Amino acid sequence: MSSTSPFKLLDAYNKGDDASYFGRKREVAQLYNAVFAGRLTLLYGASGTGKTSLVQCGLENKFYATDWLPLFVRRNQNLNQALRQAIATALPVATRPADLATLALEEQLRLLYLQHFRTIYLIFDQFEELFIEGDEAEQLQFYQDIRDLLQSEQHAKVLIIMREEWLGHLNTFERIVPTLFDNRLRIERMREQLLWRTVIPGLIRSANIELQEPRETVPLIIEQIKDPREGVDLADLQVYLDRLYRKAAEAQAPAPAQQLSFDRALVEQVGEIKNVLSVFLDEQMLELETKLKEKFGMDDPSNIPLDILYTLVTNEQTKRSLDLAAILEQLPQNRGITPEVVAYCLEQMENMRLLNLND
Amino acid sequence: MRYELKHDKLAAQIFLRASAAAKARRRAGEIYGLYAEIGAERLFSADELLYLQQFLQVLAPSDQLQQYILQSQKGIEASIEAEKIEAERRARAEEKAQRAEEEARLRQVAEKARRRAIWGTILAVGLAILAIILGISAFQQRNQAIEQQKIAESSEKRATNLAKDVGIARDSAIALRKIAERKTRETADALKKLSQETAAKEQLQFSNKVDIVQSFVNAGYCELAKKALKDLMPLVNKYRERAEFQVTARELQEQVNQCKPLNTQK
Repeated sequence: MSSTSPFKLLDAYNKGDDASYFGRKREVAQLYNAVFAGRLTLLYGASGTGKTSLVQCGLENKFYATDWLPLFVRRNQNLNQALRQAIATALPVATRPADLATLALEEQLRLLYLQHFRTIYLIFDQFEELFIEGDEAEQLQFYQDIRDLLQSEQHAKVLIIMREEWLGHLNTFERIVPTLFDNRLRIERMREQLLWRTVIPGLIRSANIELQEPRETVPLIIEQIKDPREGVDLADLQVYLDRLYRKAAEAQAPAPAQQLSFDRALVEQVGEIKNVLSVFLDEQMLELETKLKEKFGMDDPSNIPLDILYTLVTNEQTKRSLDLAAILEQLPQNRGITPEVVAYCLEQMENMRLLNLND
Repeated sequence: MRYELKHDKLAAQIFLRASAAAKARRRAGEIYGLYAEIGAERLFSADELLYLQQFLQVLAPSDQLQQYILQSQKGIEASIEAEKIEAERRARAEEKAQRAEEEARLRQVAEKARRRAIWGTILAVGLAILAIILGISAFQQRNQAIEQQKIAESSEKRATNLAKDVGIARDSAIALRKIAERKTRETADALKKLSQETAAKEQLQFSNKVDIVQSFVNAGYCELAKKALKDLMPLVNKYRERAEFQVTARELQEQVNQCKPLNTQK
């Protein structure tokens, strides 16, 4: 289905997406100045405002490759281990000492710097995971490591990215690192004016789709997905654009060589979808259940794909990463959900661009 | 390899749409985690097992937790059995205690009756002894009263006699005092008379000596006048209370001082 979609859907933008990344010039400049000026930067904002994209695409393209060495760190099972693992991975195997794991963080960073001679940027994305799944000892060790790092002479900087509703949990961190909030940047929802003037036309055109009657079509797109209270969510916009793309492609199926175009009629045809992501999810689940019936001859696969996805959600309604064994542990054993079924579902979900697969 | 949703927005949607069974399984998994921690420390109570029961239908527990549950069930059964035995033992002990208590109560009643009887006897004997003592005491007091009456009568007689003796002695003493007073008056009169005579003599002596001094002054025998004045002075000093002596002495002294001696003393 949407594996051929030219839109990012739920993926964050990365360095190669610079041509289709619109509307965040000012924020990119602010973030660049912030990380340039200080050794510790805190970037926060609501979910779906594009924090990760701002760093992975906006900031990354602002820097020359020779100016910085970014290490993106996600917690996985333990943030401190993940940090050391990221450093170890960044060190060429030939130069990696046998006792690397026993060295202090400062020493590990020194070795890394000597290999690259570039300022190291430790970028902790989804930092709230430390509070959702980490324990107190893990948090404390991390805070102390960062404090020691900031007090050292190492050529290393820290960028913390997190959802703003978790800021209150930084209290202890701030006690240990009092400068935590000194250099901070809040990313806000994109203004509607910017969406219809720059972002939506830019996204459509960069996907090589013709945009007809933009003054009418673009405001109509916004109207279809706009939440009266929270405005337009970028993830919803991506999913809606993908839906328009598929509808347009469907209409041109007999002659796919032609350039696709979005116009007012197409938008009216797709219509208003206030919770476009939810509809999108339902469609994907239904499609996968049908596939399960066909492939495994299951009589009633209803809810099995959703149950699998649910294992990857925390009680705080945030995502978390698990391996196959951990996913299997949480599934009912009385519905014939074999490891093969789960592996198949996960593969399909990855194709549907619902999941990421990490090492 | 680890799997992760693309976006937190998607996670929120999945959470909202997840089935109640899936949420119950997660809850069961969390409860199992908690129970596994408790099970490593101690056996589960009957209430804890009852609460756990609802989740066992939803999610199969781990082998370790299953083992804790079995151990706890056995423990509870053993505990119930032990409680039953203990209850029986307690019932027997209680019955025995009740019997012992009843016996003790009866013994106590009997003991009280016996004590009441003893105290009644003691009281009667005591009253009898007290009556005897009081009787003896009254008899002794009567005898003592008679004896005291006799002594009083005897004392009265002795006092009467003594009063008579005292009256005689007083009369004698009054008579003696009168004699003594008369003797004193006579002595005082005699002394007064003697004093008057002495004073008269010394008055005369004073006058004579004054005449001598004046005669020596008049005659111009100044040295002799001084000697005579000197002889006069013991009398002047003796009768300091007599102003005429003092005046006379001072006048004589002036005269002696102004005395003009003769050219030739005789």
